[in-house]
Amino acid sequence: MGGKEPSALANYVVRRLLEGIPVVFAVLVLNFLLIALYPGDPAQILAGQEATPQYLQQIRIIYGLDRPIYERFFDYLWAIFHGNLGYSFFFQEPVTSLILQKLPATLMLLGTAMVIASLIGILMGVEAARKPHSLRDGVVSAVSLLGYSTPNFWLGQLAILLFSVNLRWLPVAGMTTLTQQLGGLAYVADVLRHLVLPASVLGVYQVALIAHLQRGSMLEVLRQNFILALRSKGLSERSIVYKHALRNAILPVLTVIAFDISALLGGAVLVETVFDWPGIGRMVFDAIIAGDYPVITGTFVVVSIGVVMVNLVTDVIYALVDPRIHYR
Amino acid sequence: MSDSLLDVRNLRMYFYGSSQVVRAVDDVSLSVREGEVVGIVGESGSGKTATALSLIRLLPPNARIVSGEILHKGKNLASLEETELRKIRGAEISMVFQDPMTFLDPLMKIGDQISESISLHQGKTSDLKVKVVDSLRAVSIPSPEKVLDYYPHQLSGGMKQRVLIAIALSCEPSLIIADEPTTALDVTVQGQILELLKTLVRKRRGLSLLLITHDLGVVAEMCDRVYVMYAGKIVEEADVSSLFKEPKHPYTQALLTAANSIYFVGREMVGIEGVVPDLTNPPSGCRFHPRCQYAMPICSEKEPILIDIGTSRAACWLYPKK
Ligand SMILES: Nc1ncnc2c1ncn2[C@@H]1O[C@H](COP(=O)(O)OP(=O)(O)OP(=O)(O)O)[C@@H](O)[C@H]1O
Ligand SMILES: [Mg+2]
Repeated sequence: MGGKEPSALANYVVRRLLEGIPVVFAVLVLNFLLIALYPGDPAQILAGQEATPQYLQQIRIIYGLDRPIYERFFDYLWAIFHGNLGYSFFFQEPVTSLILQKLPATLMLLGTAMVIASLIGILMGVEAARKPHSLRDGVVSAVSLLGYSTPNFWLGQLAILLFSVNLRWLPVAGMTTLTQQLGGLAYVADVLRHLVLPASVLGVYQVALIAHLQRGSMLEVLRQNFILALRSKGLSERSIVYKHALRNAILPVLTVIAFDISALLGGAVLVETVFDWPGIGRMVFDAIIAGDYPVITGTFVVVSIGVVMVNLVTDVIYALVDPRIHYR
Repeated sequence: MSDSLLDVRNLRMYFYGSSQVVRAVDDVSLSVREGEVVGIVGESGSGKTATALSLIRLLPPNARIVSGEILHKGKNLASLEETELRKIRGAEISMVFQDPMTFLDPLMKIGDQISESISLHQGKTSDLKVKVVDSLRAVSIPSPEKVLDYYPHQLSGGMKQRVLIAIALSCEPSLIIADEPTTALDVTVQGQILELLKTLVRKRRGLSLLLITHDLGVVAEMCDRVYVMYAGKIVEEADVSSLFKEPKHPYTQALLTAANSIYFVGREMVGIEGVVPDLTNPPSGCRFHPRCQYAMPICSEKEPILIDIGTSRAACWLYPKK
């Protein structure tokens, strides 16, 4: 009984990390099989259509394609544990260093989209739930439905046409203005200007999702008895809603957002492509067009581990906020 | 009636549904004096909770106070601004609810839930923690310093109800409204909580208790004066000894008979034939007449009003006006 011990929390984190291992392992197996069992000659896929027979033979030896499948699997695991995700023929670079180069741009895009979308979505959901079936609620539901069902590549193109081409408020694409050498604050401002449209477009779906979930969860909490007790203490509606109810209502929303992170990544591929944002998504798109398998599968591995980590962090936050969760 | 702490006059509170109106509180007048324990007793659905919640306007959006006055220390709570009312809730008049399990914020420590009330109404003083510990001590919670850091789920039902009473008491209110405070608790714990409430009212000068219950045993043990409520109306008012010795209204008599024959199924009172009428369309005249063994023609035609009958008051056509 009593408060939670820090060592109990550490134990919990370690245990959850250990539980993540089988998931990551399953991803690695799947990933391996994806290449190994792909119909056709894997050497051909790896080398591309125009490869000469000599080159194909070379590939087979480099990748050990002439050896039994279980040996290749252990080689593959060994390589991955050493941070080696293969070599990209298309980009002419090791996949690991490619991913590391592109990761910051993607994290910036996802992070910005996520933070802004969460703030707006939560606010919309809460305000809608405070007055269910009011005009305010109707507007939130309509906006939410619209955002939910609008494909973001289409929205992206529309946004470029409006804000970049017609109004000329914002840059068309990319992450920096290539024609100018900017330094310091000017550079930061330039990147931010480039970030506005793709982050907004990527965030629209998230706003819709979060607003919808937050509304439902908030309605549920506001119906509970302890809300009445809080009102009987003389608290204002605002502090009841934002101090007590929100804390209770946000946890389930957080979990669903974390679960949905893969949808966000899928969205990032499209948005980065539309806006020519130099991140992982754009790279994967190019790799798919070029049939550059090491890049695709390498990204798959990294992203999967990322998703497992995000879910772990969510669980830890949940356990920290909700005292009823015991670190089993 | 000038010595009344709370004086409710002709209060009507209706729930508005999409197609119908529930007349949950229909022309109710009652008063609570300083230091008094007043009971409201009646079957389920008679409008007891609705009355209690109306007093500090803790009402859902579909509810409206249609008419009447709720006078408390020179203010009419029925028409007071919401911001002014919030200064009274929890500070002057506080509530204790039926089911302690669900009336605490599950994510907040006990200590914080108490200090929230105190700092809201009295400001964040340096002795806040002392006050919180004192309120826990006042409701006889063992090792209060430890309980401060507990979350609600770590406490038993009885302890939670003590915490809720501590919160209700924390700002030294003049009135506590307790809506069936023991119904959801184990029988052994029920006695302890009632005992606690009784001691508190006796010890704290200026504290009154409005106790809502459907248990006449609780009334006998706790109350000075009682209102008997039926279908949104007060049908009898009496001091406790008169009520038990000489119940005037046939409904009160039926309640007593039922209680004495000890037909309790679970915690529901049984034994009076029929059910509380639908408050969207209550019977004409006296609302009890369809279930009353003494019903006369006039009972379904004209509504009786409360009249003095000895030391009691009752609304019944059996008693001719003097
Ligand atoms: N939010 C609401 N909307 C509409 N009708 C309601 C609402 N709350 C209560 N009622 C109705 O008001 C009437 C009085 O209910 P109330 O809860 O006051 O009864 P009670 O005497 O407290 O009964 P119990 O002993 O079961 O607590 C009932 O007919 C009930 O159905
Ligand atoms: Mg009730």
